Order: sequence, then C-alpha cells, then structure tokens
Amino acid sequence: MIEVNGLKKNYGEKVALKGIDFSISNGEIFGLLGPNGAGKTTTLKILTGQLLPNAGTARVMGLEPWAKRDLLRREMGILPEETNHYERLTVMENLQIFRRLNGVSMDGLKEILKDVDLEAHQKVKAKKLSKGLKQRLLLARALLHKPKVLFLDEPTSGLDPSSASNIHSLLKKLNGEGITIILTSHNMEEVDRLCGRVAFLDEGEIVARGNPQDLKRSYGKNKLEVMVEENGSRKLHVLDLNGEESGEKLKNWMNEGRVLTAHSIEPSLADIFIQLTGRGKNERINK
Amino acid sequence: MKESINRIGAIFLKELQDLKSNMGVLIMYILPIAIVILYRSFLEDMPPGFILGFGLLFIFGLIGVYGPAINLAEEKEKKTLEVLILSPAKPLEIITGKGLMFFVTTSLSGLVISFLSGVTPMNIWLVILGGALVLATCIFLGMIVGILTPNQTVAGTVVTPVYMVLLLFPLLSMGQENIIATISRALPTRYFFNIVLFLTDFPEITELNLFSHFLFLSVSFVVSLFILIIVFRFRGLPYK
Repeated sequence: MIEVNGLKKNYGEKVALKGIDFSISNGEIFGLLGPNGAGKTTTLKILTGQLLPNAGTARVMGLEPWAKRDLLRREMGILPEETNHYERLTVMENLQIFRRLNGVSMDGLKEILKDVDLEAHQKVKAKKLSKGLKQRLLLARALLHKPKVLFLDEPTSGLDPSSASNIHSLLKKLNGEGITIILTSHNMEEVDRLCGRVAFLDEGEIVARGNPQDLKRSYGKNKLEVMVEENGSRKLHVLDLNGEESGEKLKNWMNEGRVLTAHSIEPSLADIFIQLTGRGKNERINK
Repeated sequence: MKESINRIGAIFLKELQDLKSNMGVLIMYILPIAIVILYRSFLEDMPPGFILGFGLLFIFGLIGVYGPAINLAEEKEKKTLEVLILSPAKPLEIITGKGLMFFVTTSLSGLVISFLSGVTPMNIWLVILGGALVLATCIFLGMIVGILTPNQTVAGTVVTPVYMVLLLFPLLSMGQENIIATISRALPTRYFFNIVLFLTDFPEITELNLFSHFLFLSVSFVVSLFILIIVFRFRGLPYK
C-alpha cells in the first residue's frame, strides 16, 4: 500500500527528514510516533502529495504522491491537525461542499453522518460544535468519498478521554472494513491501543519500528513494585527484574515476611521512547 | 469537462451559503444600496444618473475588490483553502467558482441599485456591458490581492487604498485638471462612470466617445486578467 525509501526533506537549513524508510501493508493501522518537530507531519504531507521531498521515493498505492496527487486524492482521506472546517456553515453544509466536489450521492453522505454519529447535529453550525464533534465532522469529511487509505494527523489532539475513545472505536471499525490507516501522534497510549505497527521518529530519523508488544519486549525493562514494611512504616521499592541484586533483595524481604504488596510494571511505549531518544519525559511526551 | 463544471458549481454554492451567514460581507452588499436610497430621499437635486453611476461604482469596487481579496485571505488564514486544495477541485476551478459567485451577486445588487436610482439609461445594454467589464476587472484585482497576501488583515490593508482610488478618483476628478484627474485617466472606473453619466443625460457630459471608453474598459479587463494569470501561474493558490 505505502512504500517509503530514503525520504529526505529540508526546509531551508532545517533538516526535517534525514532519509527514512518504511512500508505499510494493506489494511494496517500504522503509527508514526514522535514529539513536535520530529518529522511526522512532513512525512504525512509528502505521502498526501502536499510536499515534494528533496530526495528518496514515496509510493502510495503504487503511485508517486506529488506527481499523481489528483488521482490519489480520490483514494485517500486526510484529517489534518487543525480543525479547518467552515465555521459559519452547518455540519450538513460543510459536508455538502465535499459531497459535490467528490461526486458522492446524498445517500453516501447520510451513511457517513450515521457512521460518525453526527445525524443529530447536522443542522448545527460548525462553530457551535464541541471539540469532539468538530473532530467527527473532520473525520466525516475525510471519509465521504470512501477512501482506501486514511491519513490522520493527531486525530485526538485536545480531546477529552471520552471523545478520544469514541474516535478510537470509530477508527477500529473503519479499519475492520478494510481501510488502511496511517496516523501520527505524540500520544503513546493512543498508538499502543490502535496500531498494529509503529515507527518512532526523532529529529527526522526512524529510531525504532515494529509491533508495540515486540518493541516493549525488546526495549522495555520489566520492573516490580514492592511495598515493604520498614521500621513500622511502609516503603515502596521498584526492582529491575533483569538486575542482579533484585532477586536477592526480594528473597530477603520474603524470608523476613516484610513484603506487603508486589505488582509488576510493564514498560509503556512512552518509556521506550524516552529510552530511545534520551530526552526528558516532560519535554518529550507532554508537548 | 462536466466534472469540472460540477466542481465550479460546488464552490459557487459553497460561497453563496457562506455569504448568507457572513454579516461582514452582507453589509458590503447592503451599504451601497442604503446610500442610494438615502441620496434619492434626501438629495433631491442630485441627478439620478450620478446616483446610478456612484451606486454602481460603490458596489462594484466594494464587493468586486474587497470580496475576493478578503475571501481568499480568510480561507488561507483559517486553513480551509488547504482542504479545498486537497479535494478533487483544481485551483483554477476554486477561483472560478469564487469569482463567479461575486460576479453574479454583485451584478444582482447592481440591478437593485439601477432600479432604486430611478433612471433608465439610454442603451441600457451598454451600461450592462460596461458594468460587467468593470466588475470583472475589480474581481481580478481583488483575487490578485487575495493570492498575494497571507491573511485578512494584510489583505484589508492592501485592498483599501486600491478601492478608494477606484471609487473616489473618478468622482473627485469631475471637471478638474489636477493630479487626481491625471491618475483617474488610468482607471476603468472613471470610464464606466462617464459612460453611465452620458447615457443618463448628465448635463455636464454632452459628448462622449463611447468606442474609446469601451476600448479602455476592455483593455483594463484583459490586462487585469493577464496579471491574474501571471500571479496565479507563479504563485498558484498558496494555502499556507
């Protein structure tokens, strides 16, 4: 479905992509992870024919995105990072524009409204919608012409957990119907929940890629959180299960009967990312 | 071809729908009509031909120049132009649909002004032809500004002096021989204003070379279209 080889992009002096390679199969949900400025949006813009790379090749459905952008845009749906709908128009009017531009039937539009659960809001002006509903409107617009591949740039950015969860369910449903989804995010939990495969982008380079579970196994350090009784009070210890001293410590506490609780701590994608890039969590994840 | 016409129609309808709820632009349509009504009501000595010419220049300049400039700049600013560019609509279809909407709605407002001015010019088809040429020229100028400016604030700043010159210089230069009169000889609005005055028996204009006036309007139309094409080919429809 998508092949990227040696893709490079510069904005003047600034290097946005340093020669990345990846491929995405038909029907996958693929996540591009990374902090702001990592090159995620640039990659999406190249794949959707909005930017011409400085070097390397990209193919979407066998076609070069920049040269064949008119043809490809009929096959791809794009959800941009910004909520760029027509605020003065209603939900229905917003979608009608793109229904006409794409030559989609009214039945097709009604079907999409139902799919994204916007039927009850179709006469509401876009500016009066909540952030979650605005995101649904953008998704409806991206899906209107029944694309084969969907590019989502930060699909749940700024949404509350409930709205984000609704979007996640919808994306899983769409993927179940055979749509290939490529999403960028700096929300590691979201990607962990949705994506079959991910690539970590950092400063224009892919620093790791693979299935989230495999990555966690490869890069993660399993830990054990142990609550121990010490001098009449409770103290929490975190033991590295791969560490040499951990077993000895645990054995001693067990023998002394001081262990109150013990929980395993699984590594998260966020932990792996910090480990890979060596940046602080606040700087990296909460952007 | 049919698909292209459908897409131009989709942009046209979208602009029309947006216009309904865009109070800022609606006021631009109402203002010239209101001023014509006021002139007719309170300035009884003013020749109706002058009111007609002034009203048409007012609305053609105001909506023709401001409308497309602000519209394109707003779409860039709110990043909605990006969505249109990413749709099957081609940039040429987008500006054609937008231009057509401003042309049709402004022409209809011009008809209302003609009716309210209380005068029927001789050879009304000449006024319609001249008006169409001036309006199209104004729309082309507005689009050039809209393409070249990054946001509504800059577009408004650039377009205001253009509009003021197009509207006021023909009026201020009447019967004058000064710098304003010299500049206004290069303005299509001056020639259109003269045509309207002549065809409505305005006392101070008893003779007019209609051919040379229409020739100037046609040249203005072609030159502004040529500049628009150059700007469009050079810049495309930049959405960032």
